[in-house]
Amino acid sequence: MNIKKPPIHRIVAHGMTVLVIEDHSLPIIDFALLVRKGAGHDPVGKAGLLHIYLDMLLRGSAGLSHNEFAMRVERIGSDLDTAIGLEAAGFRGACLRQHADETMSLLQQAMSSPSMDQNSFQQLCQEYCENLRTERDEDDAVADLWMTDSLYEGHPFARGTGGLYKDIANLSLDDVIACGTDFLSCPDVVFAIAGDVTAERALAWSKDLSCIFSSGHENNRTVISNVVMHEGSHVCVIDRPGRNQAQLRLGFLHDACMGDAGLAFWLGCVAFAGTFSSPFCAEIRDKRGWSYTANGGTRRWSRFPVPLVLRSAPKVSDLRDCTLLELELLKDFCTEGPRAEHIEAARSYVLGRYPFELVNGADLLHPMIDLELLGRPIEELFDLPQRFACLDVENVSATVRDYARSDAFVLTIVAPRSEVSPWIDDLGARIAYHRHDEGLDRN
Amino acid sequence: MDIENQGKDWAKRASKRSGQAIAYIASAPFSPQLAAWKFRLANGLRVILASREGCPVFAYQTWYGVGSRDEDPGRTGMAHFFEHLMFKGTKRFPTGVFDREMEKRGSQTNAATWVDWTYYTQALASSGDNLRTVIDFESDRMTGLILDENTFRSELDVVKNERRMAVDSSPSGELQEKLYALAFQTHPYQWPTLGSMSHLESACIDDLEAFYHRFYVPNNATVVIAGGVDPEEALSMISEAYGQIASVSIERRAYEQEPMQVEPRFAQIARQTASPILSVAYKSAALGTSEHLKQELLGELAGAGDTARLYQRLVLDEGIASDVHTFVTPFADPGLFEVSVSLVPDADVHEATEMIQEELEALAAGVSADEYDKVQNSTEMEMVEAFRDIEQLAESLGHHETSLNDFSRAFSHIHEVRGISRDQLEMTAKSTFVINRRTTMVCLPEADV
Repeated sequence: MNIKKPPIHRIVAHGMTVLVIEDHSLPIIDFALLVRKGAGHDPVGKAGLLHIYLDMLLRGSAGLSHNEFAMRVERIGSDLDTAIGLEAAGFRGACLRQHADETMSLLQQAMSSPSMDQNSFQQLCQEYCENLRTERDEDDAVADLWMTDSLYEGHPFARGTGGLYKDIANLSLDDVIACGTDFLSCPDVVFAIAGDVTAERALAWSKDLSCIFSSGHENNRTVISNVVMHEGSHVCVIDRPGRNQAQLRLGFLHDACMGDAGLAFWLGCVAFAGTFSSPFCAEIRDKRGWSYTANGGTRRWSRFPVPLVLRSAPKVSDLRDCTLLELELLKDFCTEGPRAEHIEAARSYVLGRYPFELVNGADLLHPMIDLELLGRPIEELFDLPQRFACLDVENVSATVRDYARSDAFVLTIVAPRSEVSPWIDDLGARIAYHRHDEGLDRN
Repeated sequence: MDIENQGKDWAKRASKRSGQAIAYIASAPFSPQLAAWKFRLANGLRVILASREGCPVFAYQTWYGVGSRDEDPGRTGMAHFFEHLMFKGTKRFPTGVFDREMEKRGSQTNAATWVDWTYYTQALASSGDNLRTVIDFESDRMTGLILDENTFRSELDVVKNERRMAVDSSPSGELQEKLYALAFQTHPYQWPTLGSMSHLESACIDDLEAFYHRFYVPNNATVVIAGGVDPEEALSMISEAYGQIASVSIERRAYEQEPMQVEPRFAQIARQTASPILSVAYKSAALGTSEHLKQELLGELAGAGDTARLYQRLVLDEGIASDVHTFVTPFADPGLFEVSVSLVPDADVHEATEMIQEELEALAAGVSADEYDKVQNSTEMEMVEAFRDIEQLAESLGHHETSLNDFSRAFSHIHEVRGISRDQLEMTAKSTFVINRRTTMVCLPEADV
């Protein structure tokens, strides 16, 4: 392990939490400045607003044009980019040690005095809309988009983080400026730095950055509505004429995402579909050769229900059989729980993999931020091996049975509709058909 | 002790311990904390070590000097298909044992095939007998692979599905494949590493067994270990495990170098895309040459970041594209300088191509001081970022050793970049971005055709 000192956890002005991880093995520094306000907080009809606001901060500031500001960053080889999640957003970056002061100064400048130029805003919106168009060219991206939409039906999380075409087309610069005022008054801000840095230097930077957050107050904490876990199963078919291969996503939402139940469920998912030797991969890929990709997983921690998603891409002529087998495997997983030998194999894999989470300071940066934003003690990261080692096999299996919801599965298929419609009704689920470019107005 | 004597000392001690001859070949420093050493066994197996004291993990990679350029033109895709079959059983370890044993120890097995090489990779904790175990498995499958009809058939389906996903269902994947077929008319880089579907369908076990015995031999392989291992112990274990494997004379298919392109080439396809996709490519120099390095830096100036010239012109100034990327192939033989553009729906592809040409030619007229700083500093940043990850470190060493027979180029890259002047970049721009050496492929939305 390159990290010679334990992580430092400090609080400075305006309630900003500062995490410093010293790692002097290489002359590089990684950093992230995140606020507990994400794309999930975008108002209805303005999906994509926060991401656009953050991008606008990098499009010119303090008398510098977009190009001039970008050149200041790129000239010193630094990375400075937006970071957008459903629940938190901000910036992340990296720089060489000798350019750290300048990089932090540029970050501060971007956030404190953005140009908010109308032309840049229009250009940015156009880029967003074009990116939303082109991502529909790849079937796996289309499958992921619709799977998320179906799982979180009606909830802001259904929109993902990239925004919606129709919403972005209707945004104004005033919307963006108002979003910024709201963002900078959020009370929960985390500034994390890892690498060739001392705590004193990091705290000096954090002091400058914390001044930007004007009036962090409890009242400015925006709440995301609860995720409703829908009853019954739902099939979403996205028509892609002419394809000889389908994209298949199968899964469900669950709320085993905190504490020991969360760890147990996550381990159960690794046992089921997280490795090449797992039963899901063995049945779909190795035994039958039905798909190049055959895997699945869920998130280890979250404040909201999260999905278990299985992913595969069978050729169209195998699609029916592959779907039926996946449903059978999923049902078996949910009702019987993962087998003891698979849980032990997954535990061994996870424990063997654990040292990779601690090699460099940068490896620790984002897991620590995640825990901080979840309000969990950072030390949990270091307790993981003991907690996984202590999980009882029967308890893991029982947790899966308790939280899994095979009677509320969501199935998303991207394929020619004509290849799906003859048999999909037999599944007895609610079915919706869509065009692959639905929601995009080409004119 | 300096690093050269350190390497000689390890080789001497490991030779004594294993009873096998291990020759020290060379060493190269990157920083006070990072260096790499090259050794060779009597059977020709090369070993690259980048030991990092105190690192809790290590990467173990086995690189074979065989890629799709070594294939028979009538049997494309064999190198990649064979890579998949290497995960099947051997005489000692039945199918599945290797994956299960590696996963039990926290490693997901993986591999990659490209035009010049194939490599296999594992990353494990430095504790226990992980190193000995991975050496045991990797040395075993260098000679002991067994191919049977069932595993052959199911894996063939997997590989065909990989091709369907990466090419048949992906407009950008298909465009890329067609770009190479158009740009190269003699050289094997013209065919895809994934192979053609008809060649895959006609593949047979006998061909693949012959491929295995021809190329999977110690004198065509390099073992790379990066991270927390004891170098003397690692060398000793490797020589014990691999030392008895006989070297084999390798017969490579002769092929001609691509002749100079003398006129621009253009082709288009129509697929289900939202907007046109444009690929413009110029012939680039081979990896390891000074010209190649300069072309990489020009690629950075043209296509990386918000200040990139093509992004500024096509996306910001003209509004005819949403995204622009550049890529210079790191191939052992001369390859391509690629520009990939996502155009907006109504953009004129010919107009866009001419704008790309203008911007690239403008690089020959002058590179600013800021741009020069950008490529120097971003190269250093990318290298430091890459080398803190032991798998990327091993990959860079293995790639340079296998492609150039010189692992040290992975480290000397930054010094070579520091030695390039703005004038030299401008001269390379002038000689590279020549219309007669340009190949253009376009994918138009079906609805527009």
